[in-house]
Amino acid sequence: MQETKERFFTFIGKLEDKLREFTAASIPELVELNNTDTDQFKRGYHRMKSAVLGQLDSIQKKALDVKEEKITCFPFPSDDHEISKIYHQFRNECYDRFFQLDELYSKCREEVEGTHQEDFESKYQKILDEYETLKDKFRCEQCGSPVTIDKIYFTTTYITCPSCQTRNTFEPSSQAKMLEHIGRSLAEQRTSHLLEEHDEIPQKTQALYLQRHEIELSLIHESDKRIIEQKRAQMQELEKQKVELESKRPALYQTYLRAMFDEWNKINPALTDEHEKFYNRLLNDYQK
Amino acid sequence: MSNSLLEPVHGVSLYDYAAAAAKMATGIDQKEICKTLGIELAVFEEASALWVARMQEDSTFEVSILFGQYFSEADKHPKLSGLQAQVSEEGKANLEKMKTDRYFYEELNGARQAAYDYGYDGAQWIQDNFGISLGDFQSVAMKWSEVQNEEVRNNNTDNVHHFIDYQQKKQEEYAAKFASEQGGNVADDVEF
Repeated sequence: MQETKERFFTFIGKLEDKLREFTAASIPELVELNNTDTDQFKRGYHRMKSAVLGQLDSIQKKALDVKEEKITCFPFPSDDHEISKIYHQFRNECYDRFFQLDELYSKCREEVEGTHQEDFESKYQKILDEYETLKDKFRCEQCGSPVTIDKIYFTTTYITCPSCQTRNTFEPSSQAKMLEHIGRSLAEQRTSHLLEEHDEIPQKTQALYLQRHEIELSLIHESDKRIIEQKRAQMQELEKQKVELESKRPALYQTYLRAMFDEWNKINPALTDEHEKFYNRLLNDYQK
Repeated sequence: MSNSLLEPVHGVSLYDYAAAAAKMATGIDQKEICKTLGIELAVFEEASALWVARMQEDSTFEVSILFGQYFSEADKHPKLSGLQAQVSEEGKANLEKMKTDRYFYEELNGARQAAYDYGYDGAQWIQDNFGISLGDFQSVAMKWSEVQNEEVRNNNTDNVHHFIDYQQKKQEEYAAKFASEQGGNVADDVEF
């Protein structure tokens, strides 16, 4: 068992080196590709990211397979209590070593995923620039008079010629057709700091709970009445802070949601009514 | 119809919208679809945007669930069923096999995922090697997904696990093939 454990630890160590080296080598390339891939959906970048993640998976799987074969299925006489005890100790140590690799694997995956950043501001800016260029260039298909495109359209639309009243069909470009989709992502990006404020609360309340719990434990052997009083007051204060934070959470979510939908409405006002229904649905879901 | 969110939008029913999406995913042009449905592009595009909005609004998920069902039944749509993308004879045969042979479906699912894991566009790889478009693939996938959901409801988990294991095994086989084409995996030189 000792020899298997040593070999297993060495094996895991080498796989961890591979995880680190491969991730470190891939990240600059992924960042570069993410910045330079001009495809609307960044397909080249996504293919490469998928391949990198696939290799990380293959390393983790190799470790998992060996753990199953050499550790979990390690042969030993199960009727011998002493050996059984030693085996469980050996198995736990090897499992712990595997979990270290597993944590590193998760961290590497996060780093690789983190290279995906879409610049929605710039995509939106391109739509705005295109609109500025096109808005006065559209001509009536019947009489040739200029027809002003009065706003950004993201679906094919009928526009009536002010001169001859002919109904013209205006088809937006493929990037303008993405306005609704980009609009939501951009609105989320612009208001993400508000969502973070909301999302951080459980962590903060947990920290306050632990602080309070620690004080509570310290009271067990405390006999000094003055100190006991002081500590109880501290605990009450921490509990108060925790309750206050928890009570703020729904309001913070609503603040975020309202800000996000306001942004979305500004970017694509044509669907404001629909956005509002979606807003109400999300708010109701949250309150359930 | 009890759910008002299921009412047609500008005359475009949810079935029209879902079947059109399925047909587009097989490579059929949107304008061709509109012509067959007898509606103008402007109407269809606005209706499409509003159907997406309805799915977002619907907290019961009824609209999304029906969308999935209709997507997989595009070939039964009264108007759009006749619209077929050009598919090779081999592609047609593979598609039929995928509809009836669950093992074959699970194999292609595993192959597609393995292709993605080795940097290929998995959907394109299936198209190139089996002649099945993404739209057709997804349509069949939804049918098998319903079969699996039914098995779960009936507590037939043995069957579910059997096919999950089979898919996993096939994925590993294709992964080994792709790895060999690419000169191996990064940790091939690390041995226990």
